[in-house]
Amino acid sequence: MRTVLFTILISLILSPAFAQITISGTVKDRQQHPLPGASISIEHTYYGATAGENGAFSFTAPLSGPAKIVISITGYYPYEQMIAPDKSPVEIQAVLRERISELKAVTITAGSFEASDKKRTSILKSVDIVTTAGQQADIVAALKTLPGAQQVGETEGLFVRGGSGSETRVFIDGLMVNNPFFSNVPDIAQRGRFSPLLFKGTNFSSGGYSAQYGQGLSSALQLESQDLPSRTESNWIISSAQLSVTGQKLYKSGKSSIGGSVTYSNLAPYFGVVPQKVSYPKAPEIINSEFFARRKTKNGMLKLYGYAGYNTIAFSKPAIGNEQWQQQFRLFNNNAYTNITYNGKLNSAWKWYAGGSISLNKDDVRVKVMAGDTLKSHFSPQPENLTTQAKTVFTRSLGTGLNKLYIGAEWQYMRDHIFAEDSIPSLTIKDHYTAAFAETDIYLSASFTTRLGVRWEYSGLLGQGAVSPRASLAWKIDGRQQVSAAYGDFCQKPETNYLFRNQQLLFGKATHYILNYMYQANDRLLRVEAFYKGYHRLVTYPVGKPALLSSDGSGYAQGFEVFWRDKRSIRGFDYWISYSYLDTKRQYLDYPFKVQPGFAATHTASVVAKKYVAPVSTYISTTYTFASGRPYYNPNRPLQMFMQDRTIDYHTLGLQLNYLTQFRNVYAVFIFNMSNVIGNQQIYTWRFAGDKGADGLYRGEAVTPMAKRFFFIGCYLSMGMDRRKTFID
Amino acid sequence: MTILFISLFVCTRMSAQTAHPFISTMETQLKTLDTASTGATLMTLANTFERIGKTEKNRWEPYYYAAFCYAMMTAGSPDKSRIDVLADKAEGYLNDATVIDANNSEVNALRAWVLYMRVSVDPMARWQTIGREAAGYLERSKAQDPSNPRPYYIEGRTKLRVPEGLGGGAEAALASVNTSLEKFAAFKPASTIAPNWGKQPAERFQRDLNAKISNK
Repeated sequence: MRTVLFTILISLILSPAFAQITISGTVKDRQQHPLPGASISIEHTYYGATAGENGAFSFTAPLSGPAKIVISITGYYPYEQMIAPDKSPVEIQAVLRERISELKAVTITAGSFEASDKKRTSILKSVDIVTTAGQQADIVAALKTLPGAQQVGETEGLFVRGGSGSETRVFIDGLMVNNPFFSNVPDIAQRGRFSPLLFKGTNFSSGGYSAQYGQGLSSALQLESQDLPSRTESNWIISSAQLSVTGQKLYKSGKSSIGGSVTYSNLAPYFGVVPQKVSYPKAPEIINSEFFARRKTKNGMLKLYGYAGYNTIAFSKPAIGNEQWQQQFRLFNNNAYTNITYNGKLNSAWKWYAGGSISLNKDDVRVKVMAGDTLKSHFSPQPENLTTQAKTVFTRSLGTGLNKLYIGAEWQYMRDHIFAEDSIPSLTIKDHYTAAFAETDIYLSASFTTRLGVRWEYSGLLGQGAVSPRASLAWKIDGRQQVSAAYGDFCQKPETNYLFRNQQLLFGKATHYILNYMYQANDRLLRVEAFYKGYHRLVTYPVGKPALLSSDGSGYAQGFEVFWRDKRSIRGFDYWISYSYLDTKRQYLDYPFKVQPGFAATHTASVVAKKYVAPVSTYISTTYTFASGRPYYNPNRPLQMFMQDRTIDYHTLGLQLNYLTQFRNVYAVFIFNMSNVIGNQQIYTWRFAGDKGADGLYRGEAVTPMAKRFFFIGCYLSMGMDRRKTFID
Repeated sequence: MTILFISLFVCTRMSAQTAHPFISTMETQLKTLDTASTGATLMTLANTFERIGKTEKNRWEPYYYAAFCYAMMTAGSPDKSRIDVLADKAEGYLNDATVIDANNSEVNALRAWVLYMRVSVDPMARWQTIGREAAGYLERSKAQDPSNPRPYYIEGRTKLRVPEGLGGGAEAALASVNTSLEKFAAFKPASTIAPNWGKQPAERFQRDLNAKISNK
């Protein structure tokens, strides 16, 4: 006992003397704003304090030697200072430098609509794509409720700001998809090939997009595929139109998954119940299957996707101007698409992306005009496309990590072949397309950023190169408002149809100028955007002489758009309104002079409203869309009146009910969807007979939907393997 | 004897600047936490727990309570847009706690609670992803310590906000809360500083649920 006491005594004597020191001061940012809540600590001790409302703090601590004071708060770089024990009181005036975090930093919003669950500036959530009424869970259809997109109902594709459908490019995980929609069928818009459930994020650019993407004069639609599933599960879709089953297995390691799907779709039973405008000897039928695999590696993620599909359709209708003749259309399509991408870190500074894809598309089209059993004319084109591409991007983080440099390159090989018995000889064109790009994201502060990029492209077929500068910037005025601007040149090869006939054509070119204002606070969002777009080197030819193709066309588009989304004002009620004003004229194809093209409406507006009704566990969504009349040419009028006629205004009201339920571990959504609830007359455009009738006039026919209303009834089932077991294991 | 001498000497020297009685300091702070109501108090406490956590390299409790303070701030945040920021901070501390103790039922229960608060920012968009992840942590928490009442209490709280058609509603919530109260009755915290919160709120919640059901 005595020894112990002695020991303690000795050790106390030997211990250095503690000096009770008072440490006080203030914590502020560079603008001298106090930082309440900042944590002040003496490293490796409990001693410390928290800054008060005015950023001030004061505390005492016993010190025996030099010590390090660390001051930290979220969003700022920590502040460190050494203090000596022989000086009291210690006064610290800490100025903390702001850390530009992804969450707080401004992002470029000009021209861009983000649909993701992570990003702050998202306009839509991924779930909005499947729950927007009247869209039958089609990605492009849901995006048509956003400003900038036209309500073109007779052709698939996104028609953006005075641009045609072919001017919008679709990318999956950075790779261009050549046939994102089912093959064109005259006057019936086709759906997208890919299910929205495959993607976790959608970025729809209505202009001014990044130099990492090219070959779209108007717009880029970037789809980002899902990562690893959260569990092993199977999903079923059983509906009036299709039967689909998807299975995904998540391996025990939680780092790999594998899955596949099979879909069979046939509209014959539906057409049997709901009469259609034309007769279908073969109602649309689709068989496709998919394969996906994911692997999380130490530093990145590897994704593999494969798709193979077959579809067919045949319809017949009276020929315009000669009603006793039948015009028959039949399509067989085979499509295969596969891509593989890797995205990961090389080291602390560099990230690497690499991707490759192969796609094959074969159409077999048979158009016949029959007078009774007599064949009057026929056209049977058989186009075939093979696209192979590879792309790589290196990303270097600079400084604080948000500043980035992207450099990358892209290569595409496209082989197109066409043959039509009695009309088109066997033609093949091949193009080696190469592109290289560099882009920087530079944050001058957390509230001001610039993106400067340049893209070089070369087409071997055209024997032509192009350099396209891109630039955008964004300035955050305060926590709620920001202004963003974008400029860029965009190049695109002429469409294959024209390249078959003439390989001397030039890259079409568009120049975009965009100014954007955004206000965002408390579940309310206002976005206003103005733009000007110049078109150069569009494909054109003299009326009636399609052999004389040239790149002498040009045009412009200008206008403004407003988007308002509000999830707050009415509890549990979510709505958005978009309005687009468009002024556009172009001379292209056989337009004799600059006119407003047939796919462009001056005014377009949408109202989407959603509400979850808890007592009946039902999600109700309605969409009302309006578009002013679109131009068409009536050949009974003089050529000076080209495209001067207008269709009637377009109105449609869609309704969707989703009833959500769960039994055991099956999560189910029953879906009822109906288009054109009110039954408005809808005319997309007019078609005219090729020859004058007996009265000396060209007979015309309105292009309308195939039925007044479209109904969809279905259910989505998700069955998960119970994960409880995995955890206990 | 010499060894004792040297070791005592060394110990005293080493802890010259860090001579803090861990348990008693924690107990004092936890007393403050019991009555903490304002954001500023919770922030101050979180900072204190963080300092203790950084000093005591192998105790998960300080980080757990730092995260708990942020969870309380998240729950009390009237501004939805702040929830993710606060939850990020809470999850950061939970990650620190997980590094020290990877299979802790309490840490996983708290993580589930934080994730459920993230779901509340945008239930339609987040239920399928974050909600599912949260449910996974609850199951893990239950499996790791079947006597822990808190995962059942958190589950009950969550179920009330889920529509009946999806396995939620007042009755489903009551079932979970009843289970949690059975477990609370038998629950003995492992130490004076081990988590021991939730019994009274669970009882209040049970009363509210019973009232709600009988008013139906």
